[in-house]
Amino acid sequence: MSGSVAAIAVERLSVAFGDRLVLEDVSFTVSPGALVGVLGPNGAGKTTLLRALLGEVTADGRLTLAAPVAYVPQVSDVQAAFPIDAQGVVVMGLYPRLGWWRRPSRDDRRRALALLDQVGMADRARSPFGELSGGQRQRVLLARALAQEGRVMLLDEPLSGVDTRSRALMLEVLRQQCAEDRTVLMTTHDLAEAARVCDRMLLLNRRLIAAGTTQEIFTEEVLRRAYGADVLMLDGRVGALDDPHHHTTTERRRWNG
Amino acid sequence: MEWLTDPWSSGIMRRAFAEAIMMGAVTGALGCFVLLRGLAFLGESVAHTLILGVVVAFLLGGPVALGAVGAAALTVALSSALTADQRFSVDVSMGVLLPTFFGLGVTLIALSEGYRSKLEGTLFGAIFAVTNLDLVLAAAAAVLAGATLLFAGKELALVTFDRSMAQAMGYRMRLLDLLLFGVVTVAAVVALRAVGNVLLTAMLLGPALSARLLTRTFWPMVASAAALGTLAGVLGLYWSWSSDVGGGPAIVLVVAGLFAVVAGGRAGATLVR
Amino acid sequence: MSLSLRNSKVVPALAAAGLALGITACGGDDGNAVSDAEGGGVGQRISVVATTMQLQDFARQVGRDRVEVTGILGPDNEPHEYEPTPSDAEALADADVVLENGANLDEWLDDLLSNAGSQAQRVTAVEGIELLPTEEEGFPGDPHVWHDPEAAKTMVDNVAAGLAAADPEGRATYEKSASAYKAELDAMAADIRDAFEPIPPEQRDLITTHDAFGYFVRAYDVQQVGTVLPALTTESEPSGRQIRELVQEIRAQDVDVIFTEEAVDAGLERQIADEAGAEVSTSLYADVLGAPDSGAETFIEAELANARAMAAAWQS
Repeated sequence: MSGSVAAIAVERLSVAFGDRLVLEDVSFTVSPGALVGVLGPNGAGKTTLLRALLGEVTADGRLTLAAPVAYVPQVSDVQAAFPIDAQGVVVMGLYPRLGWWRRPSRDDRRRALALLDQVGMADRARSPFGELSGGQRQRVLLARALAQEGRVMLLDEPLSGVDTRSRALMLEVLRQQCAEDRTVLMTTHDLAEAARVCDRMLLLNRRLIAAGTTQEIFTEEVLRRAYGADVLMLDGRVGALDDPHHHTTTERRRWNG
Repeated sequence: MEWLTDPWSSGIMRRAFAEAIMMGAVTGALGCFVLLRGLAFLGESVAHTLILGVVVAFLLGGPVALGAVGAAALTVALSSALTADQRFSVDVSMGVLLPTFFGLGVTLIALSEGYRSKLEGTLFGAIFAVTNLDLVLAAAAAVLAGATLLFAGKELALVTFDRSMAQAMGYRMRLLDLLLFGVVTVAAVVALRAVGNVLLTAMLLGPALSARLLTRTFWPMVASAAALGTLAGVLGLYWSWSSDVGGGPAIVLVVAGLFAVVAGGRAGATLVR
Repeated sequence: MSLSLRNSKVVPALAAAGLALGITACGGDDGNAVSDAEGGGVGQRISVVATTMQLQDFARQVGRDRVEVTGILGPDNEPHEYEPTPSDAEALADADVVLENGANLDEWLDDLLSNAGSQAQRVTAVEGIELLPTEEEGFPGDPHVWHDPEAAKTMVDNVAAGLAAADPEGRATYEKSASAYKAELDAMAADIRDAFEPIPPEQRDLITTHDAFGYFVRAYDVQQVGTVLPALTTESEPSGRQIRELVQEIRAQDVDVIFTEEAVDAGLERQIADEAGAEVSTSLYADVLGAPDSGAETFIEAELANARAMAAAWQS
């Protein structure tokens, strides 16, 4: 951890929906250039944490992020039936910088094309977003976030349901971001992927159960505190079964290795 | 070519054409937002919410359009308050509020005896009774809609496409919702005069549906819908001029006919391949 | 394409209906029902509910102080467009006699009566009157019979018979009042003919909002040049062609005046008048009577007011 100012600093964050506490007293810091994974069972508050970081929900506690903040939402949150092509989606990432009244220029569209190229989608620039596969859509949303040129990038389940090629391309892009001293924080269900990719992990279940490296987090004792009974021991290795009904078969029973 | 120019010799028809053209363009364009937002019920319920605003304005002796927009603002404000709890999404809160407003509006109608016959904007509109004042209001609505699209069109498209992203980018959802809802309400008030309460939804959704089948991306869709709305207005009035079909109903029938043509064309093209 | 179109027609409609009915019913509001004050008089008054204002007036003229008349329609209610309220149902539930016009003018009464579970004596005022034929859907004939004084007299007889059936003791009173009132109607008709005398029949050009005066023009030798709403009911909208033809007709026959009607919005009349070079005149009492203090609260006053307005317009 370098001595520079934290890219993300969260102090005693609590979020309530009505009278139900969804996040309780969460505190952590993230240094610039880190790739952080946020893990936890369903309902742990991972998405809520993201929304709190984005300022979308009202929360108690202190939150500091290095601006600007780029965001990649879940593909399922996006209206795929909307008539827009991949290039148009990426251009949307430029809107805040364009401001009201102004229309995107040809340069803007060229920039969008270059970003699509970075995620390997340049040849599908004119394809309707709705006709792309899940992985392709996710890559386009990533390109859009790149257009925002954030110092911090927040991603909501970017790897779930995504094909292998898309996943590899995206991770390559994310690593590149970190190399440029930008900070990446992503929520994920995929423990194995998180272990392979992330520098640090936050284990969440309403409270912050643990924060640290793979070795520190991936012990039976720590995982049990987050996932309860859904912890699997096999050959001395530990994995967690997180909502077995919800995920694709490729994600079930992945563990360290 | 007499049949083409004949209607334009009549002052009543000229005003009707002007009203239909402006209304068709505005409802067509804005209807794209209504349609794509998946709030198709918004179009229908806007008309119902209008009733509350309109009746209140009427009872207080004020301008009807102002009452309508006021009702729209109130709805968005209440919706914001509901969604602030964070348990309710915008769609859910709207789904609760709009019928409530409708009920209140109907109640007020029941209690205020003079409303039914005296107030303009009947079930099927009165496009041939359009006055110059109505045209001024329609023009103002068109200018308002145009300015909104120029000013915040791309942002409204973003909110419709990806609301969470828009929020993450820092756009004020409340304001954008109010803007869209307000402008749609104003368009609805104009359409009310031309085609009436029952057919208003058709004007908001019909051209947009047809345009969706004809275009690939958003702004061409908006332009097409506006063009189709205008076309329907003009053709409908020509039809009414030479038949016994009322103005409003004729326009809406043309809207439906255009959709049938477009949809049929698409289906035919698919079969041929 | 997949759109999450919400089909919310049913729920809001039910919610609205429930809310509206609930609040209105609890409001203790009288709605449109207007009752006579309980007065002196010997014995119990019978309770009479009448739909149209004309029938309300006939009931009072015939029933005198033996009846308490409650009316459903008021001066602002168009009979063709009326939507009954729960308080109307309440009034009907207690009625001894229900007076309806018939010929589908007040067809909304049927549902109301069955919902109210009324045991009342039901009188259809147009019974025994030969209706002017029509091809219009929804009408067995033209229902606006009261504008013909002879038909009005038959209506009065029907009302008297209905009252007597519910209150046999009052039969003599009813028949006497009916006779007296019919004489007044004769006098009214004579006055109207006198007022029209100076104007040759060909110049008695009548353009009204809707086709409510069919019987009037026949009785008093008036020319119905056309109507703005091309129907027996106000719930209609003219087409472009119908407007064009009306304007042509107005110009061809050199008609100066278009008459509007009470309880109906007059926007279209003004447009047509402008286009055709005519004027819009005072409102006629087509389907309703006047409000209190209008000088046209009774049937006879309203008919005379109509005649005066027409004569004045034709003579200017």
